[in-house]
Amino acid sequence: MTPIPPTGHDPHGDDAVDRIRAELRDTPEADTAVAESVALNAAQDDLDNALTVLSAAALSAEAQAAVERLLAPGEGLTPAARQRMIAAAERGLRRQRLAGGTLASLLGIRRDEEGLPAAVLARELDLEETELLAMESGERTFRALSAQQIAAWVIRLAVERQRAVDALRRSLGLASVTPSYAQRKGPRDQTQRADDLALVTAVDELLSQHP
Amino acid sequence: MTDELITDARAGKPHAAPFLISLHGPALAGYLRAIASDLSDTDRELIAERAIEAAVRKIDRYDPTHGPFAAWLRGFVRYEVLNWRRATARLDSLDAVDVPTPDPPCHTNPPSEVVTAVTDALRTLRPAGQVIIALHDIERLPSKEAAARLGITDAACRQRYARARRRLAAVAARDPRLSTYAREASQ
Repeated sequence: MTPIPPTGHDPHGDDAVDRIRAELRDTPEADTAVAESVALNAAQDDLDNALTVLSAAALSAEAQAAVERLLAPGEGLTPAARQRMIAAAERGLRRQRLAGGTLASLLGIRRDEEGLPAAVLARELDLEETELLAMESGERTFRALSAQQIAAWVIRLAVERQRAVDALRRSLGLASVTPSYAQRKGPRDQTQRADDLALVTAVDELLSQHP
Repeated sequence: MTDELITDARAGKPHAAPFLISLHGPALAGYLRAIASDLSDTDRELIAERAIEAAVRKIDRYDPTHGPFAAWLRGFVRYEVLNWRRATARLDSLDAVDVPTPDPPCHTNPPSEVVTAVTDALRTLRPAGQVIIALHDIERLPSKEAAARLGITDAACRQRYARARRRLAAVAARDPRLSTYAREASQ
């Protein structure tokens, strides 16, 4: 193990650790105030149970800073181990995007998984390759496409209907059930919201017709 | 720095992965070695990968009001270590195989008011007492590891921990929220 200095150095954590170490070393406290009793034994059992579910937030700020400081020193990672950790984080990101991301990221991931070149898919969907890539990267909005084009894209990549519709709602900012303050006040935003809802409904209907 | 990375990870930005590992990977590996020194390097690396993947996948659920991000990540590491130990528990004897065993008692998390009561009790302790309990009971560090990090002997660490736990229990015993719970649980 190669000890390495901790990242995110917190001077408050250093102070807290110094104080706590000094207290633990230099001032042994008498253990007289606590008497054993049935109630105390029962409390110990409950504590065992409850302590397992506590988080760091249960501690005072000073104790929390000290714990973070004491646990911050790590060990050097080999390049291979670091690479595997990065790959794991990338898998996590990918799954996170699949579960709760926008339609653009969902379709991008699915195309990657299929190993389908952007040019081929663009041709099938009657789009320019640059247009498709701009959609996938989020540079362009799905509002530029018709419901038929979006549905065809979803069907081609075999994305589940409900997942695609939910992702489209998120892409268009319709994730919340009620309109935002701006959407309620601004006539232009209200029109946009109505158009977006109509687009989602149309895509959903087209997808529902597909077996 | 971490806040920006969390925002980027939530947005699915690919650069978040290597930066998160640069920032937290070494500390996670060190923590993993501390709580699972009996496992091989290969096993620990695999556990770290599982924990990191699970944490990043659920990064939307991270709530900074419940503690720092590093502490949240360590929770995933502990969970994966526990899973690993359950999955690879050594079979000492074939005698017990296929013998029907009674269902284990149902373990449920204590109610939120009990957790709140224990939190309140914990905060009545001095910071040193809180830290020593946190290292043992929340972070699951073996006594020797906790002692090394605190710069005291293992014997002193055990003694301090036992005292802190007795103090905590004494405070908890006076709390009606906990005594009611204990009475109901024993019935």
